[in-house]
Amino acid sequence: MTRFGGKVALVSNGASAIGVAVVRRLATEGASVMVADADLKGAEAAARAAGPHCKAIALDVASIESWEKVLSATVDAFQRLDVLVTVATATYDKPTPIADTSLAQFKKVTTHNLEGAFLALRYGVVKMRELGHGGAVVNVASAFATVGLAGHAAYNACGNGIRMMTKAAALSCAESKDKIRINAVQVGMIAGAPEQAMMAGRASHVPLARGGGVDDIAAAVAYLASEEASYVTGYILPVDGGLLAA
Amino acid sequence: MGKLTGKVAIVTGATSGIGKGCAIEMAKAGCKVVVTGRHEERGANTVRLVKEVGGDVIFVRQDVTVEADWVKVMAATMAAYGRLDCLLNNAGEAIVKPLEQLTLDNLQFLLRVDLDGPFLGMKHAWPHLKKSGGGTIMNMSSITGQKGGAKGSAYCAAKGAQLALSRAGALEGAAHNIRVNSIHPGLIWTEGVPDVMGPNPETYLPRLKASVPMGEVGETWHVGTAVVFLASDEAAYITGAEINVDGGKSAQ
Repeated sequence: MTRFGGKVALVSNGASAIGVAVVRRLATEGASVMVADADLKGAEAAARAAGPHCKAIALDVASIESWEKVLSATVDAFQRLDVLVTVATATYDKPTPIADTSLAQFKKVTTHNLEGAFLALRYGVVKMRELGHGGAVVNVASAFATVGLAGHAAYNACGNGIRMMTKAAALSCAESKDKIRINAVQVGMIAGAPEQAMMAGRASHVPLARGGGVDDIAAAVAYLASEEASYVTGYILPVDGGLLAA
Repeated sequence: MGKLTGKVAIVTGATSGIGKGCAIEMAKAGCKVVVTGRHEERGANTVRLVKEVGGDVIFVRQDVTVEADWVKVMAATMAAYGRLDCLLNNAGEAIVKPLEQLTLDNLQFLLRVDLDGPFLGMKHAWPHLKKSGGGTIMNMSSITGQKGGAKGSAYCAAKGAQLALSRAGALEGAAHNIRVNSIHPGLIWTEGVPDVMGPNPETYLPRLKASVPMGEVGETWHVGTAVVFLASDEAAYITGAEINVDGGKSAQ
């Protein structure tokens, strides 16, 4: 089964735990994948592990120039861009109550996660439109886009920002009939994701009473990015063991 | 090897529409399916279509509002396949009428089919899913179970109540590895649409399409692929979720 045979994907923060799993999943199902990350060595390792049809490139998610360069390099290398996956990984160094949070701390997270996702959508959609064959964007957001978490105001804000930006961008694309679908996944207590540390000692809050794995996220991303979800856009899929239903 | 190979599912209301489409997609993914409904002839048609894609399938005549019929369906499932992994509570009814014209009978009819039916299904599937070491239940709600809709007071109430039932089921099922999710299709074209909207689609189809951000009415397989994903082990960490397949309608 190769849902992504002949397709080209770009994964930002592709050296993160979720990024690596998404790269591996898409490549396993036939995609050529450009792995983009500020950590070029990590991106190279992820690309190497995922197979011969994957390449790595350095990406500063907060830089317009960097996004333009990475999107062009992806198309130069593989001639297409069908799937764009953004992973938001920045958090405070440690949980910080709102009254103790500096603007610099707050901005570090929002620049990386929210502005990063904005630039991905902004320039990714333009590149897909240039190519003219439609496409799918999947933003990996957090369950903490919907419920609050003390000490993580910026992460909460970014999650909800990404969630709503996903809907707005999906509606814009639908309106323009460009055949670009935009959806998001919400990450619960997933081993290797920032949510794992955020929920340390709170496994009992998860109805399934266990954490999930990065492959659970990758499977959900693959569903949304595939033709199977061709009537799905502007939708946010929680992969959280029931956390948000409780 | 399909995503659902080795699994056994019951799909209610599979004699037409979304249920029929889901049964076909599930069979394509390797699932054995027990299709149920009130109409023998239409049931035979679904059986033929499922067999055409290589599926292993039986039909059991069932009215989902009758508890004795659920006992019969479970017995037939065990007799044919010996286990149960998945229940798709798909059978549903809709009535679209202004509030002042809706009767209490209308409301109670929808509550029977759209709420009692899934409740009975969950209750009777539960012991069999536990015996299988867990499983999945999917309840077919609607985007109108999440948001209001004019002339849909009774339908929205029934589908919204069903969503709450799914959430509660997810929390209770977690201890038994039973995942319960709610599916929310938007405007999907089926042979039943004219029954609700009127016999001349050309008079309302353009308006329906225009109300969907993607500009299209969906097809039953669009829901079927979501169901296959949710029923599969790929969705092992997804429970209590609302799964939308609506061309962007719920994003508005």
